[in-house]
Amino acid sequence: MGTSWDLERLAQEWTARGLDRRDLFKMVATGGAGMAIATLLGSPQAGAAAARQDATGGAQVSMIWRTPNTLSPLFSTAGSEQQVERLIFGSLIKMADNLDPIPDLAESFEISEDATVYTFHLHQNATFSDGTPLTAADVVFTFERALDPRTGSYWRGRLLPIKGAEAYGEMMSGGGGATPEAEADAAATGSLVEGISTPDDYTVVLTMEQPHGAFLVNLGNFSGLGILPKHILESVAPDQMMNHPFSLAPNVSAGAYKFVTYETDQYLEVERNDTYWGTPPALDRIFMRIVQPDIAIAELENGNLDLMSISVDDLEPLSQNPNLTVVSVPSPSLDTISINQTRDYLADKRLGQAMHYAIDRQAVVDELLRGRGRVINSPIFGPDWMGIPEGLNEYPYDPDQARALLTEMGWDTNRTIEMMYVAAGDPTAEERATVVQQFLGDVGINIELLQVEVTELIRRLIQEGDYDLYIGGGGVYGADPSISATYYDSRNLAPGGGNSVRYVNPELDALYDQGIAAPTQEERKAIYTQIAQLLNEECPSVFLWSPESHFAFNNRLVGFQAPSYVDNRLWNAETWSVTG
Amino acid sequence: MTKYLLRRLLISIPVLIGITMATYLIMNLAPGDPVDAMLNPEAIASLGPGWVEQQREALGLNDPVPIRYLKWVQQALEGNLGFSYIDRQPVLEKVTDRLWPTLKLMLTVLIISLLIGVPVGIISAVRQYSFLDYIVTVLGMISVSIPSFFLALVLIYFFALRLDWLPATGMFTVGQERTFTDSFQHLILPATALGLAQAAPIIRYTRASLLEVINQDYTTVARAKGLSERTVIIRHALRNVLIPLVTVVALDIPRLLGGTVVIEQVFAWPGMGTLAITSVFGRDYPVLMAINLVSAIMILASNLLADVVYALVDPRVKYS
Repeated sequence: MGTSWDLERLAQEWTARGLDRRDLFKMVATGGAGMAIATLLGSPQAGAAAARQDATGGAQVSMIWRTPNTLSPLFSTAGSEQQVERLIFGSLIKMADNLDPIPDLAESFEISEDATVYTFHLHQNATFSDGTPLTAADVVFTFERALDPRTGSYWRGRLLPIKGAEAYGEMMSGGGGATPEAEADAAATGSLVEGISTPDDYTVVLTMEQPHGAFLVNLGNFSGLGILPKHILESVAPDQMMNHPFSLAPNVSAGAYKFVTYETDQYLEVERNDTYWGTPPALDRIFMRIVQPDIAIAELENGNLDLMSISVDDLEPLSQNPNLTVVSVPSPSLDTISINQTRDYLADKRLGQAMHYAIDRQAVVDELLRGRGRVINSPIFGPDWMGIPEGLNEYPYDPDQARALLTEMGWDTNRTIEMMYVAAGDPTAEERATVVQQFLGDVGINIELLQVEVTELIRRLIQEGDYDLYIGGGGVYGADPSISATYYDSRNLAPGGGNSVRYVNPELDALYDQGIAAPTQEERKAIYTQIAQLLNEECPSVFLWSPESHFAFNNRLVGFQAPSYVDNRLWNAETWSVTG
Repeated sequence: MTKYLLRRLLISIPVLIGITMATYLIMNLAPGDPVDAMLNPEAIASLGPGWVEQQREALGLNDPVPIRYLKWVQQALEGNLGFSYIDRQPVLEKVTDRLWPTLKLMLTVLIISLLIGVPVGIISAVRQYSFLDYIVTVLGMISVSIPSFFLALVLIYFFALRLDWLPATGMFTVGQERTFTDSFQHLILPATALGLAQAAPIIRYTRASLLEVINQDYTTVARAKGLSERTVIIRHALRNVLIPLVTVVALDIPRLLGGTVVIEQVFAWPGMGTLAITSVFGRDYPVLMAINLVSAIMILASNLLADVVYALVDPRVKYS
């Protein structure tokens, strides 16, 4: 394909496909702005990286951040918030750079051989920043609040595999609170939830309803559930927790850093927590600054920001700057084209297969992603113990094969179908959509591109299922093979779940059950290989490629280890320091 | 005059009602609702069935739009603007927190644009068709034509990044004590970026109306009395220029308010514009309504103010 998607070709494409003037204007406006910014900000800096003076003294690091909706671990749905909450509160376990669950507040954990009983041993010197010791009671409190439907925490879904979790939820929301029997039981076990118990002040035991080999991933994703101070929040009613001032100013916590201030739309400041159980962090404070990405790159070059994740287009210019280090690492996320399985003209596996053949995915990875990515053939491609499953159809680029499949299924080449995409937040989204449109058009699948913003996307993709195709990326598929169940298990059908292609296959559902229940990694691997083969054949989505994550950081920052998942960049921030 | 003011204020009430009604309806025409905006595809799987419906019910989104509007009006009349759908904080507090940064920016922009616009306009009128006049006209055209966000980036590039004289973004330096100097330094770039664009129409109006006035009989009379050109311009001509100028400045306030939205975004200025953008994407109806209300009041007030000042500067204008 060569550099087939240069501007000239794109311009021809636009004219050929008769995009209307509004589209053209939009592209020129965004493209023009992008180009202007790139020209302005992309050139190397004239050594402006002056050492920052910290008025309060001490070592500090500044990072880019997004405006938070909340700072409560119970309510954050954005990874950008969760990673900071983990740093402030600490959670039982966290995810390492390669997404392995590793101990955090729990100094160690054990899993029973049948993957039913999870035992966590807490650090005995863990203390909240107000001096109160953190004990198993705080962990139970946090989990109970998360499971209480009145709280409205999205952690409830993740913790439901715990034994008695459903019953607890019904008791609290339906029956007006704990029954006397439950209270008596709780006095003995430490929790109103049957599957949660505390043999002593520093041990928490979680018992699953049935064997669950991936529960640590539930618990650790994306940054773990921060442990809340029971003595502060016990008196707050569950349905009032979200509105409580503590949710935006969590001033008592047990993590390595504690909350100092959040200046609306400006920055969040955290400082070293002197009561932290572990080695005191070398940094005095970390600033999470809310800056426009384009400006942020300039600030990074100028030495005013120390770390940010960058797009593939910024790799080359930033690597020229002697003050910065640029890294790329494989990510657990996946770009896909969702195919609406409820539309009869789309719900033929031969269409999905044809689309796989029609797109020269390796060429797109080479050109659009500058080679920083892998072509992927199923939603299962990690972690390390899983690897890439064997026995998959690789779907090499073969437009003739694609046309043959389309003819066989009776695809109407006069039909035009819509493909939604979201441009905001991803500079390559527009190009990606256009390139795919071109490839599919070549074999007779006529695509009309439809740019939507996120809210409209959710409405059409998740809530109403009112779409043909959606091209997008994200997710943490690579963290655990069970994650793909979110998108393809029929019990997770949208709008209640993430199966937005609305794929229904009882055979697959049964395999997912077996995969969760299998206690050892070898057994799990065998089952998930079957799942991968099945989805690779059935093609409810087009599996495109997994792009790498890119970071740029100032050389003064020591200890940063690029995580595969971009929002996990603070995973080892406890050990960071600065030079000079 | 008092009677006139009262009448204008009374007329403002139906206008405000009309504005809120229209914005409420238009807002609800946008695809998706606040609950959609709260979800992200990765989190949705762990929410479990019913969560979405529960949230929608809790936020009262299941009522028809007219009913929701009436409920909003009823609450607003009681002084309760509701709670943000995004972070559940009181709307009144959220908006008033952002009002001051925006006013501060707008006021500075107004001062800058007047300080540039009026003198430059006078000079270019007095020296009509001179080289200077042409330069000013061309520069004026350019500053009107350049989008303010682009000018902002140019300013950031040169003054913040290349020269390192001024901070690039924010309202004060992160992690430092708040001083007047510091906040002033942060104000310069955003206010200049917007001020230059705002100055251009002022230059043109000052020039045009001064030219008109200079050819009036009373200016000729003043000259004939043997007054110096300076006195003629400043004492006699300029006072008459003020009349159209007041209108231009007042009528430009909506444009200024619109301009701050973009500039606040670029400079991470924590004002109403930034809040408006987040609220639009989050479909945060209560916050959006409050912002609309505040903006509408600001614009109505500026129009009213224009009329009042009009009467003050021009004795011929009488309201009855």
